[in-house]
Amino acid sequence: MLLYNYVDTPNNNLVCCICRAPFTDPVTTTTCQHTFCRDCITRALTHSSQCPVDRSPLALNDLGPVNPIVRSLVDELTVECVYREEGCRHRVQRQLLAAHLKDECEFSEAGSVRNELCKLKEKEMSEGCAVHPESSETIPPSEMSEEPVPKDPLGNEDETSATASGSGAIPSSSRGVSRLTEQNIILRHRVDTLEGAVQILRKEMLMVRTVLSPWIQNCAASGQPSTSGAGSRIPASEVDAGAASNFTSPAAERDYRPHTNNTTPGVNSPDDSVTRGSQVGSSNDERRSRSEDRPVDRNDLASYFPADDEVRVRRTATSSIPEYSQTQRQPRPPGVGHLHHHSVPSVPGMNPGDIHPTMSPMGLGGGYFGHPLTSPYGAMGMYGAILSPPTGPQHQPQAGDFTIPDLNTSTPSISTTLEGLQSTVEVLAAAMGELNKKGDVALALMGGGTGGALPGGGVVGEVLRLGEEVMGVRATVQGLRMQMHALMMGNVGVGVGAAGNGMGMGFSGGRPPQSANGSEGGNTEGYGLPSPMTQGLQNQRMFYPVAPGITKL
Amino acid sequence: MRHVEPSVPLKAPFTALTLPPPRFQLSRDSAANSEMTSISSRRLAKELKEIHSEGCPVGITLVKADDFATWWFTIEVMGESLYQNERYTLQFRFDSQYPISSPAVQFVVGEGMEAPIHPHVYSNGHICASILGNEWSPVLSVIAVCVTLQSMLASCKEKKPPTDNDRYVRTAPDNPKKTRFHYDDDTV
Repeated sequence: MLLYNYVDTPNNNLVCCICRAPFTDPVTTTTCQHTFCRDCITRALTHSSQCPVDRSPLALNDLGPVNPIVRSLVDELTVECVYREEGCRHRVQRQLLAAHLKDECEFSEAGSVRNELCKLKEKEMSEGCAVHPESSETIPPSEMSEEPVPKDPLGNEDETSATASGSGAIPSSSRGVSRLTEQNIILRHRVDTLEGAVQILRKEMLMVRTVLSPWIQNCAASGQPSTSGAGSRIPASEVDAGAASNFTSPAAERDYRPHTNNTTPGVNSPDDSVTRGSQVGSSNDERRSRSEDRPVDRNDLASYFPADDEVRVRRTATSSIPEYSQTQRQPRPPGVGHLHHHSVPSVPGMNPGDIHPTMSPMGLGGGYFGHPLTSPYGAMGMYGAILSPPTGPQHQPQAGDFTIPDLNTSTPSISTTLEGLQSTVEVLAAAMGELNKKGDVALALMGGGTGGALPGGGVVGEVLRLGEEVMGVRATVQGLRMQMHALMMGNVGVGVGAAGNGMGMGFSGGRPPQSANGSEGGNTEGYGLPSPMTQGLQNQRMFYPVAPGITKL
Repeated sequence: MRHVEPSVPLKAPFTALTLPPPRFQLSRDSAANSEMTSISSRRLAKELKEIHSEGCPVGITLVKADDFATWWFTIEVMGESLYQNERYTLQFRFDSQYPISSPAVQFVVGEGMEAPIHPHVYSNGHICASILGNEWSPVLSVIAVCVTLQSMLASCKEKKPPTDNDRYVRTAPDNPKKTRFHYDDDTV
């Protein structure tokens, strides 16, 4: 129940008979059409369940809404401001009093403080400070609640004294309070703008992160670009075993696991690296080909690179780099000899099937560069397979194995990844050059023939030479046979057809040996295998049209 | 970011303001402090204001209304009656539930004042009236009670005390509201 000061005596019909005041939240009984304030009738019904007016039975359920007209009439009654004592002479409709007290009344506690603030603000505005107009709202309510509430309902003196003391204390404290509130508001605005900027930045960071997620994972995991972590199974034929161990990257690198580099500091067995690389490659080939490169041996490749701090670090970290570079650039013989050593025993073991195991890592290597490179790389792989002793999938990587490890996200940074890519390319180029040279050597070997297997001639040369020798041997044998025939048939005489043929053959057979010999001896053509054969054949053929006894040559 | 701190907490629309206990009393009397709830005090304040502004009905006068606990009135039956020219003092005692609960009304006895002799008035001043008991309604007021009692006296046919007056007076409580009166006689 409230206490309003009604300016005019309200109409008796709008007065609640229980509280004798105009209705506040009126309700009407549905049974007997009597109107009361909701609170009043509720309390009355707790005492006795009858209508106060006519004592007819009444329950709480029987209360219904009043006629809206009644409500409007009551709400629009004019009341005085409750702070009339303080001086506010404002009169307003009852329904608008709350708003007046909240915003307008200058004589309430809040209003007086508000006044003070306004005056302060005006002062400060004139001084050029930026004052926020909302500062008045942040007056701590404690100020108002602390105002003493007189217990004596009839004690006006107490009330005025209280307000006087309160108003006296207000200006001094409110000034400080107002300053703080203004600063508070300014700071709040700044915080809001900063938060907005932070949100935007966060979104951008998120986008960047998603784009660079693999490398970011590695950065988080490793922190430092791992030097020993990077490795490649580059043509290990040029690399010592020790160097290879340095170069081989931890197999975990090839997996898409961020916690790779630091955990396995690059000393994995080549076999493991190979197998894992193959496994990973088979499973992740797509991904690799799409976006990633294998962490090429940064240690050795660093030497190819323009100086980078990271690279330098890596360089110093591994001692194998100079070794590798040396082996890379040294003249052929050491590597060739190495190869040769491997190749000889491998020949008998050579079969087309062996190529495939080696092809798989090659395929990986080719695959990661994208499909266009697969075929040439595959060709190289084939060479590599031939050169190397393929003992199955787990063959030594040193035998010309070009498997370049995958680039995976374990590489700490994009720059290192790109360096790895570039280094891989260079390695491949070097490897191709090597292979070309090897091929040349092999051809030279084959051309050397009886001159002895030049080191580095290669299996191909060997094979060709051997084939050549076989042909020569065959020709010799035939020549011998024919000589014998001729000797045997020479006594018989000329004209025996078949024998003549045979003699002719024999005669001619006499030749072939010579020719064969001659061919053998005189064959100065480079690739001799076909030529002695053809010469021999030609010699033989020539004898047929010739009558026996007539020798040509 | 408007932090609106109203001067007083806001409640439901039509009971928006809950001011501290009323500082604006309609009566500027220098009444002594009395403890009461705001409801009864407001209602009594209103009644008091009405009494002051409109005066009492004929035959009824306000003797004392210093607080919202005890009020004294005098009633006098006007016109021709058994109690002609007799003035009796009524005492009203209000509790915190007024007007929901009825006031405790009795004739003041002692110090030269006596209760009227009436079949419904005991010699200790307690009154057996239905409106003070089960027929009390918040609509009634102090003035209404006074008027009712005035008419009760005026309509009395015979001045005689209640039949169980002696017994009742011996065992009666101080507050007549504690007595379970049996209202059976509607004629008086």
